[in-house]
Amino acid sequence: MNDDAKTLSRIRMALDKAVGRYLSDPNINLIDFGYPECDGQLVESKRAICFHVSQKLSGLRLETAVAAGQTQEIPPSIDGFSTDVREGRFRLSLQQWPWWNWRLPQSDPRAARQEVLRGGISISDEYHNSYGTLGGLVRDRISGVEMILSNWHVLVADWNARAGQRIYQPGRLDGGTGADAVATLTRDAMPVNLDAAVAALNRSRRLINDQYDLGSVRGVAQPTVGMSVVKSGRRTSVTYGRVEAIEGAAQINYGPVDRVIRKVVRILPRVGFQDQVSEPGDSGSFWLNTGTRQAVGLHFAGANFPETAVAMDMQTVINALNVDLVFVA
Amino acid sequence: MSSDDPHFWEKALRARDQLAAQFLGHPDVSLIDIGLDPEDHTSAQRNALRVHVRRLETAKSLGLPGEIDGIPVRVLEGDYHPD
Repeated sequence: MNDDAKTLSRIRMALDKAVGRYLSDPNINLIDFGYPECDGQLVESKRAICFHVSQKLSGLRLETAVAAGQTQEIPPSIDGFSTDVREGRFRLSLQQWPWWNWRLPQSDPRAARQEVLRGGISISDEYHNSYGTLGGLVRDRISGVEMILSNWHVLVADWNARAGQRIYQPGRLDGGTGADAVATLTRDAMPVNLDAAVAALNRSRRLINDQYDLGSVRGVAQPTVGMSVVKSGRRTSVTYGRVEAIEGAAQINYGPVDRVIRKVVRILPRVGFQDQVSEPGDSGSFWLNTGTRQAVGLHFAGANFPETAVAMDMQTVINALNVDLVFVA
Repeated sequence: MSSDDPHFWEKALRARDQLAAQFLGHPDVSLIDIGLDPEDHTSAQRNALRVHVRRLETAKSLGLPGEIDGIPVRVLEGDYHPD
């Protein structure tokens, strides 16, 4: 069954949502997209988001396990795609040495643990099996504490989260664990309709004013229509774009709720280029003016049709969070 | 109205707020912003108010105005998700 590019994009987004929400469940081993099962046979006329679990529970056993916090109930559909639950356990077919320091090999340094932190590398909160991008270094305007700036949905990621939850580098989906905690969640700007948050560094590793493969941030500026911009992100590394619109108000879905996000900046590929500007995992990246390297936007969303990056005005974000970017003038 | 008009941004922001209040709650509307007019293909591409919808076919049913305070209102297709 061949899908057009738009359908494939929808499938990927639905899978991303399922993975982010459910893969940390101890009963779930794998989430993929394929043929559902019926009576042990694959139904090749249908497709579904497939959850491979250690133990398939139903009825009272499922209710009891959910009530005890041991697992979650999987909805019948996610973003228009049916779900299917089947039992399946998987084992590794390679070995690592030394076994007590085992970690997935990371060919992409942005996905790896970095002893010196900088913008453009993998981070996540401690609870969600995901990754986003460490945006950059900021400082609390009152206390002077140094912090990571990124998105709400990267550092907070849950409507029930509380200040103090740990931030891992690399993110959990890149193999980060408790030993990789670098910061603690401090505050966020969702109450004022901005998908942004800051986390205070725990001083286990230093964060410098550097964007991976781009250099240092040299200030903050207003985005203007037509401005050439560049960003460094965990998923698509360094990408270029042009600001096509500003002062936007967007209606974005965050799981159980939709939120209006304001001061939205829309970024398209450069004229005459087949650029990719962003993908899931780039959330939290700083968009910089290509010439001046001043930060103009905090990346938080995107679309594939057409290829689009969506950010929030940086000055608005740092004012709302009461922080300043740390930069070399 | 040209973006060079000193009152352009004041009027555009007010118009954007008006559109947002009226349409941003519609399930098919994803973004309302101020940017390049997609129907202006001249080198001095002017700015417009843009309403982004998840599916273009729903745009007609919204009842969007053609312009507000002399600033054109355009429809674009776009469905945005957190990255």
